[in-house]
Amino acid sequence: MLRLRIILGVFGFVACTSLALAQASGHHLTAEMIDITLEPAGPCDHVSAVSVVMNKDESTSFRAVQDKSDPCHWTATRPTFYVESMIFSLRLGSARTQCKVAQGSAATRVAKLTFRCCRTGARQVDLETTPEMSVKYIRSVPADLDVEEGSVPCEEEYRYSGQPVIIQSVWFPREAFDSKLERAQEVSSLRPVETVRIRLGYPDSPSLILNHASFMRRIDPKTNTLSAAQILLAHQEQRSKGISSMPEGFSVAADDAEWKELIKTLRLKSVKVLVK
Amino acid sequence: MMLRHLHAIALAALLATAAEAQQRPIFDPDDQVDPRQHGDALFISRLALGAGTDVVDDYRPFHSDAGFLLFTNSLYWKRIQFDYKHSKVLGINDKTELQSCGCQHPIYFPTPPAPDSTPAPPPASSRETLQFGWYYSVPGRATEPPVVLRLRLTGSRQSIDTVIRSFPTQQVVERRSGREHSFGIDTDTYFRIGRHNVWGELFYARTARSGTTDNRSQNELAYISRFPAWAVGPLLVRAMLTVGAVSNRGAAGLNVVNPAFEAFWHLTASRANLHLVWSPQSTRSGNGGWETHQQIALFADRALYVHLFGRSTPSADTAR
Repeated sequence: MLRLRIILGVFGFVACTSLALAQASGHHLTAEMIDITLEPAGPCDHVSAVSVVMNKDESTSFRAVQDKSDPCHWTATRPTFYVESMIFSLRLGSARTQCKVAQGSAATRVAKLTFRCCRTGARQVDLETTPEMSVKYIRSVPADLDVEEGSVPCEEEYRYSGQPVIIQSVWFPREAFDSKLERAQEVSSLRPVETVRIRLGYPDSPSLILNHASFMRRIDPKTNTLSAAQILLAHQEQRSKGISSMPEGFSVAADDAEWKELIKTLRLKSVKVLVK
Repeated sequence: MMLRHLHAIALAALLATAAEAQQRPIFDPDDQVDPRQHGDALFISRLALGAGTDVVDDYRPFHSDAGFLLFTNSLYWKRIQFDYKHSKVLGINDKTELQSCGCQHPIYFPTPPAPDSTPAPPPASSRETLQFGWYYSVPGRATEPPVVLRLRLTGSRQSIDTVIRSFPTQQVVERRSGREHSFGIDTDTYFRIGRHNVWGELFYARTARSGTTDNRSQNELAYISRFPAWAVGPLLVRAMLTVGAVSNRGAAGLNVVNPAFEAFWHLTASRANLHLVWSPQSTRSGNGGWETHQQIALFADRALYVHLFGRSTPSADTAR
C-alpha cells in the first residue's frame, strides 16, 4: 500500500513538473531583461532616471540603466520572469507612465516595453508619521488608450518598510494645489492619471486619497504637516464628496470610528508631507 | 436562475413591508460606516439635540416650530448594523385632546383631516426605532475599490394617547391608547454617468395608525438623489433632492418634491457636529393641492461613547 502511494506520488510530481516545463517553454514566454523605449525622442532627453515597477509591487521597484548612445533607451535585468503575467509601469522623476504588459521574444528572452514620454508632471512625496506607524499606499491607475496604446488598468501597492515613506512620481490634478503651496510647474493634464490612497496604522484602515485638494489644502505650509485632526477632516471631506467608495454623506459615525482608531488607539499626532 | 431568485427575494421583501417605515427625521444624522473601516465591531452611542421651524413628520406637517431630541445606540459588526433610536419632538402636545359632541355617532373636534387631505401627524410622544442594516459591495470603476452600499430595514413604534372630553361639560368621557407603527426598507443606489458617480437612496415605507379617532395609513415610495458636497471654509455643504409618492391623501402619482440643503460643521475641539438644514418640502393632496413647508432645522450631535472591538495599538512594523 505504502509502495503504491510512493509510486503515485512520484508519478504525480513528474507529471506536474513536465506540464509546468511544457507550459513554460511552449506557451509562456520568459525573460531576464527588460528593454524600455521612451517615445517621442525630444521630451525623453530630459529623463535622468527610470525606476521600474513590476508586478504592481511598489516596494520592489528597481532602477533601469540608460543606453549611452540613446537617451530614450533604458534596460534592466531581473531574475527569470513570465512576460505575459507581469504588468509594468515607470517612474520618471517628474512623470509616471500608465501600466502595460511587455512584448516578449522567445529568441532573445527580452521583455520589450514602449512608453510615451512624458504625459504629466509629477512630484515625489515623502511621508512621515508621528509616532512612527505602518503606512501603506495604493496607486490606482486606469487604462488610457488615447494616451498610451496597450495600457491596462492596474493597482500598485507598497508594503511598509520604514520611514520616511517615499512615493515616487505622484501625479497631482491641478486643483490639488492652492496658493499656500508652491504650485506644481508641470501639473499639466486634467485627465486623471492615478489616485494615490494611503493607509495609516492598520493594513485595512480607511484609505485617504493623497493627491486630492481635500488632503493637500490642509498641509501647514510652515511645518509641512497635517495634524491628526486635519487628517480626520480630510477623510470627512472625501466621504462627503462620494470619493471614498461609499455613498456621499456626512456620516458622523464614520468620523467617530476614525477618531477612535487614529487618535485614541494609534495615538496619531501628525503626518509630515513633503512634496518635492 | 440565480437572478430570478434574487428578484423574487427583493419582491418578497418589498411586499412584506406592507406592514409599516418612515422617512428619516430631519435631525437624524448620516450613520453609514464602511465595514472595511473597523476591526471586528464598533459601538457608538450618540445624542442629537436641536430645534426647527415648520417641522414636518413623515410628510405630515405639525404647522408649528418644535425642538427635538434623538438618542441612538449603534452596533456595527462585520457587514451588519443594528440601531436602537429613541426620539422625541419637544414643545408640541404629546397627546391628542379632542372634544366630543356626545351624539349617537360621535363627532370629534377638532375634526380630523378628510381622507383626501394631508393627514395630521401623531402627537409628539416619544418614538422607538429599531434598524437592521446590511452592507454589500458592488464593483467600482476599474482599479477602484469595490463600492459599499447599505440595505436597511426600519421599524418604529409610537404610542398615541387620546383624551376625549364632552363638549358641553369638559369632562373626560373616554381615553384611548393607540399607536403608530412604521416599517420601511431603504437601499443606497449607485451608478455611473461618464466620469461621474451618481449616489442616491431608494426607500419604501408604510405607516399605519390604530386605536385612535383618526386611523390613517400611508405608503411612501421615494428616491433621494445625493449630490457631492463642497467645502466652504470649515463647512461642508451639500444638496439632496427627494421625489416620490405618498398614498392615501387623494393625489395619486408624484406628490412629494423635497430639495434639501445642509451645512455641516465638525467642531474639532469638542467633537460635536453642527447641522443646519433647509428643507422646503412640497407635498400634494387632493383637497389642498400643492403645499410647501419651509423646514429649517439647527441641531448638534455628539458621540457619547465610542468603542472599537478587536483593535489594539499595532507596532510600527505591523505591515512590514
